[in-house]
Amino acid sequence: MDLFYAALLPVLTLAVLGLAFRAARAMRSRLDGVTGLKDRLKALPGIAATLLSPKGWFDILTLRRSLGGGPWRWMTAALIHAGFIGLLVVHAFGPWTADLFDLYYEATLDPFYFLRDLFGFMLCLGLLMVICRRLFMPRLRRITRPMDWALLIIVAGIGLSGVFWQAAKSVSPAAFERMTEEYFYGGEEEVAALKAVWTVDYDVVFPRRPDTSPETLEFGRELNADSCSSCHAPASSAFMSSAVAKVISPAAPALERIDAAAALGTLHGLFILAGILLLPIGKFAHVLTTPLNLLRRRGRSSSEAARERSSGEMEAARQEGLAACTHCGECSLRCSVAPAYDVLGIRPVLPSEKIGELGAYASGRLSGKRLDDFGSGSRICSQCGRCTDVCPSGIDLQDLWLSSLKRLKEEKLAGPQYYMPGKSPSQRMTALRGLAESRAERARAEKLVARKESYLGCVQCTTCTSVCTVVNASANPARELDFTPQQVMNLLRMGLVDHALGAGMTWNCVTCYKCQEHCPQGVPVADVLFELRNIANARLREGED
Amino acid sequence: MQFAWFPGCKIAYHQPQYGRDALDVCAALGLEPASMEFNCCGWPLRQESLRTSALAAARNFALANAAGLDIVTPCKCCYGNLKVMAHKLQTLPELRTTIDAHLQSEGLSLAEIPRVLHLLTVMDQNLDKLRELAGNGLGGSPVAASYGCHALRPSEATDFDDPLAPTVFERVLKALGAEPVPWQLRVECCGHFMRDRNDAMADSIGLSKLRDAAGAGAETVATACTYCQMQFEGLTGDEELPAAETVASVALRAMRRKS
Amino acid sequence: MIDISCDVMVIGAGHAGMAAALFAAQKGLSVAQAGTTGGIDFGSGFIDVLGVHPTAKLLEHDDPWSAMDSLRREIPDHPYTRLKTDEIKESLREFIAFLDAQGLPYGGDGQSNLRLPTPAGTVKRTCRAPQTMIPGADALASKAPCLAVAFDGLKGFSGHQLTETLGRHWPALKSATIRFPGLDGELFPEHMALALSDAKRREALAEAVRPHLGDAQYVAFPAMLGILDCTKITTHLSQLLGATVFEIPTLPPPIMGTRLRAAFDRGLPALGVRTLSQKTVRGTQKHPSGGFTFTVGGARDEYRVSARSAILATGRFFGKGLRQEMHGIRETVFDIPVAQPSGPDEWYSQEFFDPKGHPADRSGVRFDSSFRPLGPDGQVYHQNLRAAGAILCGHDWIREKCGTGLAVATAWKAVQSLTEQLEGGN
Repeated sequence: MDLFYAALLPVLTLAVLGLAFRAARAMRSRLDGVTGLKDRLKALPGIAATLLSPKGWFDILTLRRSLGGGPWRWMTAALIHAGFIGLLVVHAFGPWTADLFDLYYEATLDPFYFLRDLFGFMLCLGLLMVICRRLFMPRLRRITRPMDWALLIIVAGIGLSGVFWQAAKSVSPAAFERMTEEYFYGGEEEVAALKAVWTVDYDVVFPRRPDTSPETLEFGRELNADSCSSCHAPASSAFMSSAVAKVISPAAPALERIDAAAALGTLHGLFILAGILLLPIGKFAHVLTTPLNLLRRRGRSSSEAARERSSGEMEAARQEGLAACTHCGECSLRCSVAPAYDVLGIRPVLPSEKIGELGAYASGRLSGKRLDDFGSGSRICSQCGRCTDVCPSGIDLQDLWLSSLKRLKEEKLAGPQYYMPGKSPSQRMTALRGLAESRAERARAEKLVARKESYLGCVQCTTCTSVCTVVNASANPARELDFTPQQVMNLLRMGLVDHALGAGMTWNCVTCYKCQEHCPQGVPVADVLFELRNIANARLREGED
Repeated sequence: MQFAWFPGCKIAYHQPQYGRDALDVCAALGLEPASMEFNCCGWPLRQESLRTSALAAARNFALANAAGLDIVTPCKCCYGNLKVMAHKLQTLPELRTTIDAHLQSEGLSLAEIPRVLHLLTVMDQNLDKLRELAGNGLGGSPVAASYGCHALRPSEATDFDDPLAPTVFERVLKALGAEPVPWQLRVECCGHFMRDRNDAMADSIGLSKLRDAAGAGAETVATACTYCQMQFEGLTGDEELPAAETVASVALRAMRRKS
Repeated sequence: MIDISCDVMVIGAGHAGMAAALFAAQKGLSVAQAGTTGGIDFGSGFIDVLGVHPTAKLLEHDDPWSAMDSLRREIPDHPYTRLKTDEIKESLREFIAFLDAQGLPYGGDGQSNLRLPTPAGTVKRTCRAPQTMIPGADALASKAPCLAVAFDGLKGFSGHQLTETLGRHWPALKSATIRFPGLDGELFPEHMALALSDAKRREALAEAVRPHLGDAQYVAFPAMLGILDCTKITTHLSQLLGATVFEIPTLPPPIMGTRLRAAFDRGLPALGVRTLSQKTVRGTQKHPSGGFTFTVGGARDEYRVSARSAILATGRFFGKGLRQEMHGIRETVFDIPVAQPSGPDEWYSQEFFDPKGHPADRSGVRFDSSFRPLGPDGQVYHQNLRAAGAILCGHDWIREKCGTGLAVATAWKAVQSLTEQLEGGN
């Protein structure tokens, strides 16, 4: 135990330094790409002010936002939070809590003994539900990362090591010997009676089971009441560790030989130290960042209502939101465009995956395929706002998506639909050059582009071009669109798919379907243009693999 | 059969008023479409891949199936994609097989493709009630009905109205007591699709529609699509342009004025 | 499937189909009409009654009616033999009145043919023409100073072609090729027409033309001066230029196709016609009681139409009323036997421009004096069926220059006959 307390201060210091480093990085990171450091610093007082928000505190204490995921979700969150906070209050900071209520503190004394197990039970139950959720919901299972398991392992580790440590201590006769030597004054007969009580009421497993006849027990209980119970509540109070103790009692001698209790104690300490050390990293910090974000949101529901007063405060709010993500995946379970993830396998389509990449994008750490996928995920988002509604951490996801997409579009990173219209044909063809026919093209159920039959009816009557909204809106179709619709059909009839992919017409098509509707020969012009864009998207996606 | 309400992704954040107004209109007509959770109709996903768009639509169909409901939507892009994908699912067996497999992995199945109706069709089926509720609240004010594109075309899939000479929107407006004006560009695209891809073109297409409506004497351009409404609301020209208003808002305005 | 019932199902949305739907609706019959883009979308808009007879001699006529009397004598199978001159004139009068009401007025006195310039620089005789084209006849006849304006990028209209060919007889015809204000590259009449709905654009156009005007009393433009607002636009340009502005048709895609479609799309539903645009009849069922059930749709069956009667106005090859197959020509909706050359070897002459024309171009369904199609045994195919327009056999409308007139007049007669029959309780 002394080692634990000795390590505690340095570990805490490291954690605080880590948090400070993370906060500093957040200050430098700009999501909108525009707001400068001065404006960011001006927002600092605002952060302090949010700490006073009553609605924010309400959200923190009642976990109101977890209801977005349904009653079971709220229950899970409530169990874990109540359990962990309860453990902090009655166990980790037990002595201070006892002082507050003018109570005498012993870990093994009620109410602390019982409450510790109660909160431990709640924590473990909640964790079990969380683990089951991650294991048995296929989409969650696929997106769960090592860090998610790490946090679960550490918290579960803290809880379970504590339970097992107590159980090991309970069953250990050595602890009994030590305690009676120091604190009990009585002869052999008294000790024997005490042993009986401690076997029955306190789960101790003696090498030889003492006589537990009713008279002995009665006598022993009287002695126990005088000498021990002022510091020891019976095992029934610690219902969970008691149950575990009973389960491990057959192995008690072996555990005694290897001094399992001490080992478990060390394990318990290590788990706690690990948890503190890792606090600044990723989602471990949510214990601090999520409440901060809930305060920032001040109970406001819609994204529109969540606007801040200045761009500096807006950026601060965004950074707080980014840091508050617990990767619980609730947003991704409800995402409207999840079918795109199911088919295309692009992870940042899902909000819980996109938000992580967003932080990296804002710090300029994204490139290559990761950047492309982030761009894809951002543009595919349909901005339905459901993720924002259900986020238990109250992150204003909708604002994050809108502001980052705006920036992606400006930087021409939002995907071919956005950057191709502005390019020249040779630039477009260069972007697509050398990309082999993709698997997606080969697997496409409706193949129009590559089949000559699609164009057999085309007599180049130019009706499609005549009715085309886009040609009509072009002051110079040859320059702006390169080819008109009937010319694109002609290119494809000649098998010149690459040229068609490079044509401005393909990328400026407004999808009004007038061409296909008016064609007297049944050429599916609009569907062909759609397929061309699909082909380009598929080649760009697969070309990066 | 009862209907499920399919607002589409854009209404919640971008056009919440249209969503509320459309439901109020349904309520006034004595209809209460059921509220349930759908995913994206698949319209914006059509650029990415056919399969993605088809799966999105099919998943919605499966969800509606499971609830025993048909679908009604106020957005023409949603309507168009649901109908086009329904058509493709019925005419491309290979696509249907692939989609069925995807649905199955989620424990969903597509027994049959539900009916999909657009809000205008529902209003058209209740013209007498509309007339009764609206009376002369709009006083014959000149309104240009903007059909847009995706409900009308491709007509082999959409089952909405005659693609060249549609009449449903004007019938509804007349029942509401407005005077629909004939105008040249009424079945043209609003141009929203090119927003942020080619803004000059999006502006040009949208503004030419509003100007044409103005030239035809319209005070209002009525829309029945979330995207059309977003597009027109976002346009400003050098001259005075008619205001864009959703058909639901027009209907409620008429009903309020009457009483 | 949606169920529709009607008195008349009009199959076809070309000149004959549109005219039939119009006439039937005006007679108070309930009409459903199905049809797709076809020949009408590629025409000049001229209403030809009869321009050339006999075609083998390439003899052109200024008096279509006396030419028609000769034709009736010399081609006894021709549809015109079943029509009286008064009937033809009445049909055209009603047809034109409808178009006028939609903003598409037609000129010509209907007695003699107009002589109008074509984009090839030839002169075409036609009976009625869009009012915007009419001044061309006066300009041509008087050989007045005239400026023909062509545009860079509008491929279907060449100023040089006009002055080369027409200029031989009309020295005062000059041409200028200018840039269309605000549009470059490849131009299409429909986009130019839409652009001219803006008064400022018209002013810019006049500005661009003025330097070339000289002493011109007439200014000829390719047909692209607006859609249903063409009168307003032509009048305004005439004012701006101080000369009489008129249109000359362009090569396809022609604006008149768009104009006629717009007029019908606006006017027919207003008359209560149930239009099923871009849909075709996919299946037919004849009922012993006299009516029909048609399944109509695009790629699948979408409508079931129960009709007391029907008018087949599906056009010829481009309209897909007739289809050329390996062993013969078939009628695509009812499979009515087609009067045709004995075999594919007989369809075409060796010479593309053979003045006698090509035998395949005279194929079509046989008909009686009420324009009821005849079946395999020469009997009426169905009491309640009529046929109108290019689907009828016995004419070569392209060479005879009688397309629209024949379509409208036969449609009119078909509707007359049907109305009498339906009102007579059949």
